[in-house]
Amino acid sequence: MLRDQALAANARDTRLWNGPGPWLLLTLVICNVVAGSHLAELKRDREANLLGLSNGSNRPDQPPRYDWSVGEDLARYLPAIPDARRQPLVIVLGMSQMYTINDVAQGDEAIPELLDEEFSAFGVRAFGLVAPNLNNEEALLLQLAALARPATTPRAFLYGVCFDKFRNIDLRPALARLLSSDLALQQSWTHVCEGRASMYPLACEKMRQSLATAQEPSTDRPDTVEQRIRTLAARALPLVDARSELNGALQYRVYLFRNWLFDIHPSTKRPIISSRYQLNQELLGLLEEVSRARGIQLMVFVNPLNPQAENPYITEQYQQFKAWLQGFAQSRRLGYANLEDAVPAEHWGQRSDGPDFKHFRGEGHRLTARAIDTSFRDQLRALPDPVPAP
Amino acid sequence: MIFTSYTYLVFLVLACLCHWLAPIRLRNAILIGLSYWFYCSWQWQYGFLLLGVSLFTYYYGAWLTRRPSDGRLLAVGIGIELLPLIYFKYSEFLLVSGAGALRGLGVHIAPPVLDIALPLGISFFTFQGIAYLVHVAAGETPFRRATDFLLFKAFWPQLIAGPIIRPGEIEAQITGTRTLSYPDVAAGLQRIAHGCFKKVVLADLLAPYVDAAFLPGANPAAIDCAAGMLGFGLQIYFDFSGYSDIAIGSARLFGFTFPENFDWPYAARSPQEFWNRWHMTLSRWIRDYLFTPLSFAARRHPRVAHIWLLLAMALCGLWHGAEWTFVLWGLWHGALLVLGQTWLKGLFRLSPGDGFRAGLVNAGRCGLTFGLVTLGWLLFRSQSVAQVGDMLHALLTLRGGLRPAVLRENALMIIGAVFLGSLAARWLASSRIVGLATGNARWASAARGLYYALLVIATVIFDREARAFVYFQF
Repeated sequence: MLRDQALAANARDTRLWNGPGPWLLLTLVICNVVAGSHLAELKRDREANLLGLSNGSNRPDQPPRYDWSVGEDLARYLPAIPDARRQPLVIVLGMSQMYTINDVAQGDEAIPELLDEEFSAFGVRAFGLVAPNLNNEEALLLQLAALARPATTPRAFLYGVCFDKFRNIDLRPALARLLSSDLALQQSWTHVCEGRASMYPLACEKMRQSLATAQEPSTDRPDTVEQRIRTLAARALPLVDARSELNGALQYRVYLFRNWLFDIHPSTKRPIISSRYQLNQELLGLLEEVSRARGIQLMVFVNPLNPQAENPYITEQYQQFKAWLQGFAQSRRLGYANLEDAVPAEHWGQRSDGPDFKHFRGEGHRLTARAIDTSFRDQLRALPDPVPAP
Repeated sequence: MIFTSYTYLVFLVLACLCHWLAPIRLRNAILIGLSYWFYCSWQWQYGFLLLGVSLFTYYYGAWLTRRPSDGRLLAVGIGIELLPLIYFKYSEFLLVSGAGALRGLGVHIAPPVLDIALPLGISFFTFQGIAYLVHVAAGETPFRRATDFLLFKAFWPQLIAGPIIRPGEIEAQITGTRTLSYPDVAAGLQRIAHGCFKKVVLADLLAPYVDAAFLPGANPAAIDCAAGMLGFGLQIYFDFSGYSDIAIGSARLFGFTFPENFDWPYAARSPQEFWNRWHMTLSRWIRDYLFTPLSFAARRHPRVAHIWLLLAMALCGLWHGAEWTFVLWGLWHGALLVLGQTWLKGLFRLSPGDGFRAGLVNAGRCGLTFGLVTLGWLLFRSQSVAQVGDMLHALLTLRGGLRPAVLRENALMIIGAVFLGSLAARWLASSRIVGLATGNARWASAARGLYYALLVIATVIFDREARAFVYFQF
């Protein structure tokens, strides 16, 4: 019941019906209907953009052997990691090359799956923590997430270090959410920089910044009232449900516009951004220090590159990167391999705009897995047995 | 509960229903309860701090009215008002600065790490309390009922980030009978939609690029510094004015009209005009409660008025944050204001008339003021004086030329687009198009409906939680 006259009169105000309100509601209703009818398509587009396989793996009969969500829902796949207390475990870190299969054929498997099969022969299991365009800050977060529980603490990390990922910074939203929702992970994130800020000033400052952003009073924590309201809103309103997909679609169009505006093509030579490169170098240093502090081996390799496709690297900078990585591995006594030429030209694939310089076909995965196995065979076979579970 | 959350939206709807459906005599009590709920949703313990400070201010104000005008009593009251602010916000700064000063004298003391959590809105409700005591001491009638004062102090839309409201601006609205009208609801919702768009879409979009440009030790090139400063100027404006819009809009839904806080500040043609358009309720607070009393106290020495202006602006800077960079930012603006009144008076004097030449000259002044204000943001955003020095050096030596060392093309494109979009919005706001679209014609209603729908949709899609990772191959 309306308590005062003014309030009652308000309900009879004709502007309520003749003003912009009804148009606003009508537009929102139409947008919701459109979003609802295109939701499945939007989700498919997003999956395609992440270069994920439609069912996560080409071998759906097998349990996951890498993070099928490719960084978007890591918490869901951590329990799928083979119990490190039962047999030695190797965590394979890397970007989209590790799981994307061009022209996928029946029976093709991704690198982490092939490695798991290879290693199983001598009693070691492998699991891939992979995500497209994985940068070193994110790799460090994945490492800490794996080290957070004894069951997922590996004996070795195997990291495919990619040159052009050294231009990327920041945690992707899904990994930032993981950090914001996991207090133990936040503590280990903070702990990484304790006493190391003078050696890794950029990395520690960036990590502090990332943590501060993750800890902002935000909407990201899954167990909050806010999140429950959002879930309810998403159930009721397709526009809210499709917000991430729409956001992704919009960002992708901005990316295309940027390419058009700056005339950027896959083969456009793009100099590395110095401070980002330096930041990623420092973060790799921290990743190694974390491994060493926990007595875990770190093995790094230079990713295969399509010899026939023109890549956007400036040759001199790429050479410097490889020399730096080799020197880094030597100075810290890490396993190192250069797999740049591991996959011949015929095993790569095509993109709509030319040869794919980064992703290969199934045979490329087999060759890369074999090259990894060959390069690190001695270290992998000598991995100590796990401490028995209590 | 932040203003741009879905929880706040639900809270606002429920609060509106509770308020308007309740008997009139209960409405203020309901608003007080809801305000404390809102405040305690962050950290309930600080609700007691707010209540304690509010009760002190109310009863001290009442006591002041019964005493003959005594400046010392007012000073004591202001001092007590400032104590929580000094403890929570400035104690660490004072200790570190004190230790630094002692180090200069050869005494080495390691200041303790206090790690004190800052109560939300303490800077705002402290200033509001001081204003109340000054008003009462000046002979204005204090709030008659404690409950009215509690609402004045705690009313949630203005509690966290202003506007800083004076007793006289809101007293009649608190004590009188408020009514809900269609214009109030429409204006309130429009302001909320604009505020959410500014904060969620524009400010939050710029934030990661600005963070990257200002990452300490990143060794940015000149173009990174310029883009970072421009980006931060836009980010802080959209962030703060967006929050003010949501505050003003929320209050309007309950029948309150708050003073405006921003009026296209980057269109100012002089530093003085900038402060008449930027965070207006703070500017007038600084003017009325800091600068004017200081100048009045030293009225026999008019030449030192400029020093008071510098001091007032330095304190204004310190109010924004407990770091020397904020003090420098305040001093920078103080210096601009002093220069605008003295040596550069002619440069910032408005050209009369509205001809092409006058327009061009005024546009030049606007550009100059914007440039100087943007340069000031370097001081505000940097994390240390050393970083200010490094970025200034990069700017002055054009380090790196046109090749960015920190930002990618995306950042330059987005910052540029938001800047150009802001210019276009300013032009549109003063053009006839907006005037036509606010008319009563059917097409105008439809256009407005579509416009607000776009704001809502953009806010939903650009919301931080909705942000998606997108794979870009090159």
